[in-house]
Amino acid sequence: MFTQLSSCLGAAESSKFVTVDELAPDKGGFILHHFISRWLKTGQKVVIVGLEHSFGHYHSVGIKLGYNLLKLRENGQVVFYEGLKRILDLSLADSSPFQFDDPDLSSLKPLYHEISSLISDNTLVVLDQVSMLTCLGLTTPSVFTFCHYLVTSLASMHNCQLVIRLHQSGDKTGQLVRLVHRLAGLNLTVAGLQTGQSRDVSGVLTVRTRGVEGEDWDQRNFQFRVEDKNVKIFAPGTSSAVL
Amino acid sequence: QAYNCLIHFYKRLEVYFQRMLPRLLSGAEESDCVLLVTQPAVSPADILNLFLKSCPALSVLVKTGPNQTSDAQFSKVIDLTDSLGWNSGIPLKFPECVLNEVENGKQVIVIDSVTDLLLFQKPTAVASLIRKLRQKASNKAKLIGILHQGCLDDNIVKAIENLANTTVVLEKIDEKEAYPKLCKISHRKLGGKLVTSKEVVKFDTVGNIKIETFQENKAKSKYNDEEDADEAIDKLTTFNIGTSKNKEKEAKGKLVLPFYTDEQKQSVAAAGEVKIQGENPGKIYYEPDSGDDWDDDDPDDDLDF
Repeated sequence: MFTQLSSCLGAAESSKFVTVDELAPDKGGFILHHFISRWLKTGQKVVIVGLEHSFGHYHSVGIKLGYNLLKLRENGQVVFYEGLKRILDLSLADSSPFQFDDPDLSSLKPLYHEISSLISDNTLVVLDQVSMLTCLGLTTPSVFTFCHYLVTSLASMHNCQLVIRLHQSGDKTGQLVRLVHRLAGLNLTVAGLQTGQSRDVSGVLTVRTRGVEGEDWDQRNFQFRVEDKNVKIFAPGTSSAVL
Repeated sequence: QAYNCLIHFYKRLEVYFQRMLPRLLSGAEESDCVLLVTQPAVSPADILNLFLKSCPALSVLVKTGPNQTSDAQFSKVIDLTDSLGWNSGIPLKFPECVLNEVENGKQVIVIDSVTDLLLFQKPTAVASLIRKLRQKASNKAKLIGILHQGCLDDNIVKAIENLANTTVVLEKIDEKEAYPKLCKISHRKLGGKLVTSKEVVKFDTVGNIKIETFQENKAKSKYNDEEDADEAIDKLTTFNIGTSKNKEKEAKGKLVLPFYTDEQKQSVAAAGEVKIQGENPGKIYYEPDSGDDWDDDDPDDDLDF
């Protein structure tokens, strides 16, 4: 868990539904690991739906942050659902519940039911990352429907949180990001620096929190630096290299 | 009688110049279908509450998702969260699942959100629902739909906007501040005339909502302040940051070089650019000075071809 990220998120960190959208590839992974380590510290269940990375990726990052995902998986606290592999196996089966050649809104219904069966009260669900589904030929409405039903399902459960990671590149994925953002209570947008790359600043983090009913979204901007075992968050222009 | 005509004339004049949003809220301007079009970061809840307060007590919410308008202020809630039946196993028959729950009469029906309905159902079915709900609602009742910008195809959004009498597009004036909000209103009157208006919604010192006409000059004055800042920056640096190709070309044309002929200098003074006179515009005019060794002979004369 990264304490500086925790303090800049504040009470919104406990939002039932969090989106992490990346404008530059692989910049937002640290946020997922923050939420995973936060839940593991309290001894609660974590379900990771891997649509981009293998279990080994999360395990190697977890070792750096001080937890062993392999052991936690063995004792049942962590459940890793290999999303892409499962979709591939089911698609190639003789009677496949997935129909990617003719996708409609119910294309991801079997995936939703399989993931729902793993979720119970007091669970963190990490969906990493949903934009991969559009690469398989699924339409934006069908991916949004899948996210909508996951959110609805977790909304009715006690003490659950859903974190969805998306990658935004182009208009098609931009539409999906805007749709999914509406469902969340906390939106985190991670982007690179506009002027290029820097050794001292990894990127820009925009935190949007949904206001109390009737109020607009509150937006705050930060810069961050990813280190080996830590992430530093600071106000724009105040990195240690500048001050 | 003339006096009464004059009073009537001034009253009509006052009504004509009154802002559109208060007229819609008070019912002075009739509209049975209002579409609130909002950006993702802008909440329509305050404008929606204004419409709900001005309408009769019976209100119905057609709900499509969990994190939306609160149920508490509505007499009836039609829950379409599981309209596709992924949880229950039975998909709802649309639009009958809504039409059968709505009774005829004086009421306000809120659809939150039309965006979700257009994603989960066919656009033609959603259009049919809107038309039938308008028929069910009697006089002084309203159908209010919430639509989100940037989430659907533009053609579908335009088609749905055409179904509404009134479209209110909500925007933030200042990205960092929730208020004031800009409302761009398009209202189709009973006779078919389309009226547009831009109004600003903000809070006064007491905390009441205040509606004012949007003034373009105020927005421009902000930009003027920014221009003053640009001028200040220009004064601090020797670099000409604001130059462009056209400006450079213009400056190049006006430039008078020391070896110009009198004719060329006059043309610059008159037209602002150098013009080369004569039958052969490409010809080079050269005036040798004292240091030149001018020889009219052909240097290649001694060659034997």
